[in-house]
Amino acid sequence: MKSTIISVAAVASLLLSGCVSQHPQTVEEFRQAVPGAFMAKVETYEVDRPFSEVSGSFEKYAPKCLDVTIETESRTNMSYQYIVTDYNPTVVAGRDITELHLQRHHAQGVMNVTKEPEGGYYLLVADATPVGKNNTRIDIYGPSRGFDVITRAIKGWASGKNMGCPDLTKI
Amino acid sequence: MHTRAIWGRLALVLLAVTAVAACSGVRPYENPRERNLAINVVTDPGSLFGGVDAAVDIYSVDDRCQPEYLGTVALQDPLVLVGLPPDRLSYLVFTFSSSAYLGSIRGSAAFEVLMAAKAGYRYEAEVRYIDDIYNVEILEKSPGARRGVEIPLRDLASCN
Repeated sequence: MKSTIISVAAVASLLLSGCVSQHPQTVEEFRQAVPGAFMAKVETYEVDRPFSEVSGSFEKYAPKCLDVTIETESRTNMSYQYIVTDYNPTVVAGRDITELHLQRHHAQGVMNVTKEPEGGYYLLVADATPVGKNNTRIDIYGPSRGFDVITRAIKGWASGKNMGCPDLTKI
Repeated sequence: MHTRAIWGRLALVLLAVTAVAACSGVRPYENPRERNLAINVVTDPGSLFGGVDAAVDIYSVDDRCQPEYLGTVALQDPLVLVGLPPDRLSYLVFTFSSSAYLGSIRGSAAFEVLMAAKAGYRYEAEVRYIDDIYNVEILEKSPGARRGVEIPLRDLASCN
């Protein structure tokens, strides 16, 4: 009986690891993987705001709002779970593009089955590029569900309206 | 006899609650008489923070940049007045703790501010939590000034 359970568990983990054999290890790999990935999407839009201001908002708000550690505790009659998650933002500001990378690392409570890049798995990438003098194009590569609060916050930073930090405990 | 037993149990429960509160480490901030920081709490209409408990932990910071916890002020009202010691570094940690009782999921997000309140100056903070997005802004008003100047938000790591 015990050996049957172990065999089923082994087959299940082989099947699961076959589904996702490797996560993107670089930002560019992440950008390329998102369009064809399950539960992921690329969102593109334009804001009526100069590139320099959008870039400045990314530089100001990303470290302030996204460089956080979130502890969540969930408890039911039958289970208890305690998860510690580190979010690591990076902003690379350039003349023609400003990139915001967001990585996520579970410091406690979650087991990784694939290789994790330094700083954590890539969760989201937002690219800002100038369109003329007063407009900026935003491309957001990220999950299609469950992380709406982050994309809403980034849209706020880009547009200059409703500036604030996403409550990452709501993810 | 029955009533006595009930009162006895109530006393035990009260004792346990008091002990838990004392051990949690959270204590109310002892506000000085002069309150130089007005905190405006802006939330979704209808409910104050709906499911989110907001508070500010207040620390004093010494010359070696070591914080000492002074106490916590709950942000349960639209306007909360706080007294910060003038001409000394204070470290404020605004926390937003959510709890969903049905699933018993808890978490908290924090926003840190290191600032030195100047004697005679007034400070106005706006703590905003709308649609799961929060922000804290603090304005400094010199004596007699109508308009405030936004103070740059620094965290404890920038203390030196």
